[in-house]
Amino acid sequence: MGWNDPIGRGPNVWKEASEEELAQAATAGDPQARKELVLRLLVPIRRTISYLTGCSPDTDDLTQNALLRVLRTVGSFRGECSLRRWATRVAVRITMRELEKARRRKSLLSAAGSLSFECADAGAEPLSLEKGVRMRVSAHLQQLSAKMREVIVLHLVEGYTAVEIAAMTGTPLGTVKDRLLRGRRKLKKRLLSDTTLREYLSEKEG
Amino acid sequence: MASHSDCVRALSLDMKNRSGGPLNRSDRHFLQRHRASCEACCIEAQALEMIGEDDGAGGMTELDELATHRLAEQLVAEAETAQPLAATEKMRPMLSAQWKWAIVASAAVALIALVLTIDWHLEAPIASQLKAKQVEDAPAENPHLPTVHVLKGELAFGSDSVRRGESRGAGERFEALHGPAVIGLSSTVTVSMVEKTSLLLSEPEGRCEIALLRGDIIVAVPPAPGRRPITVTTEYGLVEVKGTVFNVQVVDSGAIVKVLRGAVMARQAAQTAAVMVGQGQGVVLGPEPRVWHLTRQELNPLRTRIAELGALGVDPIVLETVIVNNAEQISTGQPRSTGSGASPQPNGSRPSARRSAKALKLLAQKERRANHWQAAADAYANLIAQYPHSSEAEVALVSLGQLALEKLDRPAQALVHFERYRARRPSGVLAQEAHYGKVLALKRLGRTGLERQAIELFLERFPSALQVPSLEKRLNEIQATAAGQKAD
Repeated sequence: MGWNDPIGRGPNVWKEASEEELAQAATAGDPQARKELVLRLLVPIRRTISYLTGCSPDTDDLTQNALLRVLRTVGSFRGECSLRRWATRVAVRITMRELEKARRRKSLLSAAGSLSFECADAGAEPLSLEKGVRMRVSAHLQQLSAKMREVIVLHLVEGYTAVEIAAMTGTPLGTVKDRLLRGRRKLKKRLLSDTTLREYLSEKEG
Repeated sequence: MASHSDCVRALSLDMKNRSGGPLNRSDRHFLQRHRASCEACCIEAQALEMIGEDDGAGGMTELDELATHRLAEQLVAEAETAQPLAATEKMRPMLSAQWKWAIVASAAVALIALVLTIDWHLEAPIASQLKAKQVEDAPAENPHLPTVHVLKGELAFGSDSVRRGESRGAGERFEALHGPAVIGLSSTVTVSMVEKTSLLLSEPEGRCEIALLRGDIIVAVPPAPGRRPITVTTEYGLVEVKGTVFNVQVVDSGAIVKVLRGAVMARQAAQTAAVMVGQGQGVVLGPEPRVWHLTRQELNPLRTRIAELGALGVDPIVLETVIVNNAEQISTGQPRSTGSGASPQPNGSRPSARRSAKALKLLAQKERRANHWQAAADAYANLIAQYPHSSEAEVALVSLGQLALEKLDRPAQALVHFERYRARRPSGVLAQEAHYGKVLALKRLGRTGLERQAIELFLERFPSALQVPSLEKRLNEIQATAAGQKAD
């Protein structure tokens, strides 16, 4: 194994391993296991972060930060929930912290909302129906406040219950339920007023 | 017609359903019936249905398999090399404000001392011994032209050629056309050139000036008291060194300087402010020189070549420099003036209205999706020119390289952009793409020797890359061709 080849080229024996086995091996420092861990978590974490940050180019940076954090702290995973849920929690915490910092600095991430529709509309190339709908929904999500968006994304994308979201974000359950309901109503209102989205959906049905 | 209370109940059931709560049969039937009768709830349900089955892109850019694997590998490597979090947190309280100020003050004092030392060296008078030697060596008809002694290889000199052991007065362009060559100037300065290197030499007022037009050189200048600085000029800037050995490489991009030992003064033009580039650092020449730390991959190839110079009796290395220049933008006969202040500007001019980096990136992506390749290239070029230090510009370098290579049929320009990215982010996220692009560009340019080296380096650096099989195949082809040529 060369100095710039920390992964090695052997067959991936961890592909079929359970989450607990993978987490243990990753904690022990097995590079293949750590790589497999990243491969399993990359897509869901990136998805969650991208819905939280919208069209921001910082999505990939945040994803990498979250995955690095996961790799460094995987030893603290105790199997009380699924690995993905645990990792998502880490990612959401990091992302929300950065969003809060960005809001204070009025930097790139805070501008994500205003860019989202530009991004969604920027495609000169015809989008697939599914992708078009996702982009529109993502853009509408960016119009919600950061705290409301956090709750809505965790609920809609990750399927967390209000109780889980409250525990994860350290927010009172009543507040979470309130944000969830108000967020869903706001989002619904926005979705209904989006004619482009309706076109996508009617085309899909047709 | 659905009532408002039905919509509220449907929302509540949908939230329960999304959170994994089981719905009984009547609830499921209610939801179905309600959505069939309520257009608003139907649209909402359809739209939200898709975000849970996303491909991980969140409706944004997509990750391909190659990028995913490479990213995973990089993250694992980074996590292994990084300091453990606990240790970092423990360190934090130790760095009190007083300590920080003490460190900053010490660094500032050291820096000032270093700058003063170098300035003193650069301004020192010419040693009479060296001056006499230079006058003795120079041809009588033009004291500004040094005599060139060919120590190794063969050089094209105008329409003539000069072989090993022969000498000529330097008046025209020298080119190493048939393999590497080594020349000696004024008996103390040695220049090692790789194949296809082209340069002009002069000695105005006893200063040795090397105008690098193309290729890759190592200049060895044994330390001598009172020596005037040796100047290497490129289109994008110049480097002044003294009592040292430095390497100059020209490919197709802006000027880049890399220092192994000692320090050099790099500047855009003779009258502009200089930046000091220290040991283990590199700099991209231009209006705002940017300094970065060199990696082992950047330094190792130079060490091999410098060892060859040692075999020719050149003094041990004090320092070395690599300059990457844009051969395409240099006229065939004469180097451009370095005092023009021109910085590396990819094709395309700056728009009158200044857009943000993001807007330029989006514009380029839009043009690209519309298959407007030139417009996309212009947008990327504007982004790089206007926001050279932005993260968007780094990505744009690779995108622009790929456009130039695949769509615009400009492999030399593509090579420029890939090299600039590699110089700027040797271990960046797109380093693999940039390196692979370089290989493809060299192949298209027919520079087989460099292509072979690039492939070997790629295989060494990215052994798990998906391009490995095809590159190994190509490497075998190159080696077979070379073996066939030798046999002939």
